[in-house]
Amino acid sequence: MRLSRNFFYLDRIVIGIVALVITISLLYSTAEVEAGDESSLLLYSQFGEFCTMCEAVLLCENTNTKDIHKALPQSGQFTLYHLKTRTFWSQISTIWEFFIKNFNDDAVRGHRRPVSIIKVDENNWSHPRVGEVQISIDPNTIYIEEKMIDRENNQWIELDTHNHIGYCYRLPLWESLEIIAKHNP
Amino acid sequence: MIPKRHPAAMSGIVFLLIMRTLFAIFWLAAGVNKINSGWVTSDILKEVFLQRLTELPPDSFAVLYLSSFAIPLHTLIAWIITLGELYSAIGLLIGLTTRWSAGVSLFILINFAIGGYYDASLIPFFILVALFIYYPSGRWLGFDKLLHEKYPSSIWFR
Repeated sequence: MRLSRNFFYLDRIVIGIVALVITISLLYSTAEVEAGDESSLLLYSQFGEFCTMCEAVLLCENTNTKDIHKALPQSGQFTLYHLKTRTFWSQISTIWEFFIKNFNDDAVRGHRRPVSIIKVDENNWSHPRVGEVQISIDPNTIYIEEKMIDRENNQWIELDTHNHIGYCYRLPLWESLEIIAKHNP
Repeated sequence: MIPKRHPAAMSGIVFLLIMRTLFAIFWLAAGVNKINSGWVTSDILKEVFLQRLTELPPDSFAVLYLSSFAIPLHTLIAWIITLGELYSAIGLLIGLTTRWSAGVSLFILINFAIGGYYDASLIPFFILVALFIYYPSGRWLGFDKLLHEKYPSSIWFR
């Protein structure tokens, strides 16, 4: 009797929190998961965006035809973009991104991270130049300095003129990094 | 009810309670999302782990952890993570078995970290769950206060 009376007179704040739990649970249980087919996107991730600690090597070359490279060629004329992990504070900011995304799917439209840019001209490999890449999920694009990559069709585009200048491909990461390291010891 | 203390201590208590609530909502959202995404009813977690394997340095401990433990036991792990997140979320939100809820959160976070999902965003989470374990915040605000008075020797409501 006494226990039930205690429960009845429980602090209103606690009761409010219980109501909040029930409300949030109901909201989530009725929420529909939008599942568009994004698996063909360049830098696709199951979590919707290229993951925080992931790295990738993209090869972009001036061509009009899609000629997918399965591995990093030893020579040729192309640009390599080594996308690195997000910076420390950018990683911290993912707490807010994940939090707000639970309530508003459109709140986070992309992020920035460091990128290493290497230009290859036949057997000449330039020293890596550090820049910044912006990966956008709406629209699905990647901005690196004056270039843009369309994540849906892999087109490499000049930002100023919007001219198509080639295509970009994601290469196997660890093998590519080994080759890059050999050329830039 | 929140005990009356020195203003500085009181600010700390209020801050910790706000953080506990936010952390719990975050955890609740994560747990419900996993149910909605079919984590416990499909092989989605296995696919997530297999994808992660390709992104990790091949000689890292996380690869060993995923390939020899997490992938073979992905169904069990999906259940443990999902139920663990929901239990922690509700426990922290309403202050019921609060320290145990924080302990379960810590267990999940440690497994995220060693399983190849470590990043700097886990640091604030580790700090918060350590505080939730150290301080009796469920007795400041939550069901633990009432239940601790009723069952003072019980380890669940301390």
